[in-house]
Amino acid sequence: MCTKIQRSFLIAHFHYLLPVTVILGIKQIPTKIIPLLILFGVNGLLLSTTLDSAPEVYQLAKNRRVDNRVVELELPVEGKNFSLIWVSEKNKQWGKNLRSRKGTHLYEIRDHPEWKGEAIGIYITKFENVNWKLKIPTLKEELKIFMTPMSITPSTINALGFRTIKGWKWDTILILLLYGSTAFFIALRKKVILSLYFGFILIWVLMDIRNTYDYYHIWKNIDSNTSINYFKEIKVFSDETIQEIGNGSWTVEKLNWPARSILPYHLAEKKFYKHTENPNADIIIRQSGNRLVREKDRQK
Amino acid sequence: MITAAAIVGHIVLNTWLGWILLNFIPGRRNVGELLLTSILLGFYAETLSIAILLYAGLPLGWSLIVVYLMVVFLTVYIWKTKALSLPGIGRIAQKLKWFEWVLLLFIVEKVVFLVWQLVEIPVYFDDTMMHWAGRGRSLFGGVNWGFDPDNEDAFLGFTGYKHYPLGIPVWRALTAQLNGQWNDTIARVDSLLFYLSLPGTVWLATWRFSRIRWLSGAAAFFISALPFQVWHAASGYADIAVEAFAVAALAALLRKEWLLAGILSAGICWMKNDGLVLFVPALTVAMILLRFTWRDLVRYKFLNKKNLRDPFLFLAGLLSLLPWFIFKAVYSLRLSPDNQSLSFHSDGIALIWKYVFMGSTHSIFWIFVLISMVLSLHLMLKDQTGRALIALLVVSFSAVVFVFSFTEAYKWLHNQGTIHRSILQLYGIAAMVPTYAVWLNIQKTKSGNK
Repeated sequence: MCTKIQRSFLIAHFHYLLPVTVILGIKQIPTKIIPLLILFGVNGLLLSTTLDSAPEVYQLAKNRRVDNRVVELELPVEGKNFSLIWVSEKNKQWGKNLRSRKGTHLYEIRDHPEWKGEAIGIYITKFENVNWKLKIPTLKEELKIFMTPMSITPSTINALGFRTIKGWKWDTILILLLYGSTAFFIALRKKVILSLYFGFILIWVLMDIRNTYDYYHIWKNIDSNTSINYFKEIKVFSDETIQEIGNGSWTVEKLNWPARSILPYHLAEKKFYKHTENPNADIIIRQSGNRLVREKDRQK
Repeated sequence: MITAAAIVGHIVLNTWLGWILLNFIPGRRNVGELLLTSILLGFYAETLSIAILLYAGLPLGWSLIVVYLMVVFLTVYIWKTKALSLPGIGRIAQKLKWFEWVLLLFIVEKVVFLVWQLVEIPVYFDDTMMHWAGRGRSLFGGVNWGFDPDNEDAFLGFTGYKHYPLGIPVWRALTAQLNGQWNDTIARVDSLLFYLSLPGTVWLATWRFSRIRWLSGAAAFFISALPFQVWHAASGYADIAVEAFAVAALAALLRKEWLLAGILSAGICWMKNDGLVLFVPALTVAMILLRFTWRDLVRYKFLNKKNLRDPFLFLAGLLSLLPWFIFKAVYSLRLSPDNQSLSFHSDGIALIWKYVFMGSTHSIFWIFVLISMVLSLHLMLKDQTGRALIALLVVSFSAVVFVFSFTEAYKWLHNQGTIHRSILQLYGIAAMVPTYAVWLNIQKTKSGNK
């Protein structure tokens, strides 16, 4: 076990190590210690986001051809973020962030330009001893990958992710279809700008129908969305806290995200004091790992 | 049920206030334009007046009563002095065409999904909790709210950044006041209102210049189906509000209602500070290009007394937000939480291309807008409205490029933290460009055939 200071040092060190290895490549580093470096680098990132996380990166395979292949993983939970990391033939480390789906599912990596040739090593974060396969998908599986639903995550509000067919980005296919439909209308002797407009209407309908499937899936599977469930748990905790505070006040010692955003919102109608300003607030809220703890002020 | 009644009641109050104010602003508007403009104008006027009354020391509930007593007084005044311009509803009942039913189906399907989110999913996204709903809830609760800058925790709410404008937090606090308590639906429901106003405003603006129903429907469909926007329509973020006000301001400009356009432009900045940089300069340029011909501009004709009236009306509308600007100046509230110093980032433009045009967040919308612009540039530049639309889009997009490539906001481009939300604000005006270009083409073909 290391102290907080040692841990902070490790975080700072590994936080820099991972980007440096990714950016500069690791040509000069002996192949044998690559997994070790990946372990440290990923751990640095994990530690920097949550101090209590244990190091979790596991080797899946060595020296495998990855061209045109997707990864089939059997995972135990839905909605957990993890990374698939690989070291390319040129000894460079690459990775893709993914979101877990419960059960056996295919995960698309082919859209990554460096997922090609032979991978010296393939690693996964967070999940140990998973059943997995590299496979070239059948047509049916391609459709499954394409229809893989997106789910709501905290970053959905900032950007949306890609979806693919045979490793091609869906948006690239939509552009090609737009050109095709525009050409079709031009062939029908419509003006170019009008043809483009008509073509776009068709493509936009197609795009919207695909998205509607996502909306339906999100509605149907909302109960298995772990992050939404976590938010709901904090809401329950907040409601209980509101009852306990009554007409009193509350404060927090140190909270990690997302609790540090959710709790102030739910408790906004109750008097808040900064802990340093008024350590005698009626209720103190602390974070212990992922758990929130509510304490009545001991000095009172 | 009570929440639904409070929300609908609040929107009705906003519409009433906006409609009364529109009676003082001359202009020829159809029922739809009157309704949508009333809602947005009412939203802006109500929240701004209540923020002023709150600053003057009145509690939230009393501020609401005072504002609507004024509205009652104004209604009686207008009723006594001139005929109230009551909207005719006969034309609404006009039969819908098949493609309009399809369009409605596409919109209804999203609205069902959005309402479900508002009711079933807790407030989920960070800025909603920290700023837009968090500060609104502080105001509603009262104990963590104040205007004393020395009381740092309570000054303009105890969460979030103080420099963000108060329009949205005040509206949510008022809805909670009408409801008797706060809940997670009230915390975000205005996003749905703005979402619904967007296809409506775009449809009506297109209909006004084209009188072609399929074209109006298509433009409304483009704007309603944008995937990123659907997520924002139940998020509780302010970006969709900025977009709704920007499109409404553009629609007012196209109707040549300069004062109203100025007021709605001020409304953009009352929703989020971004409006000051992304839209006020662009809408000012568009206003000048719509009001004056090249000849007027080259020969300085716009400087004569008679011609200056319209730009001044636009400016007067903008200045309706003066109380907030003064407040910001007095309390040293900046435009953004970031360091506002200039610093050039050479890969900024390349990243914008990669994330916005080639990324998946906006699907192929911007590629389509870009190709349309290139194909129709010659025709658009020959037309006065076309020039104004192109200038509006180019200036506002350039402002985005400037902010993310030449300031510290670059980090929000690099990590895709804000860039797409800023781009979302431009959706409405961007959808108008290809639509107007198509109409110009149709006009050209018709005149060629004659």
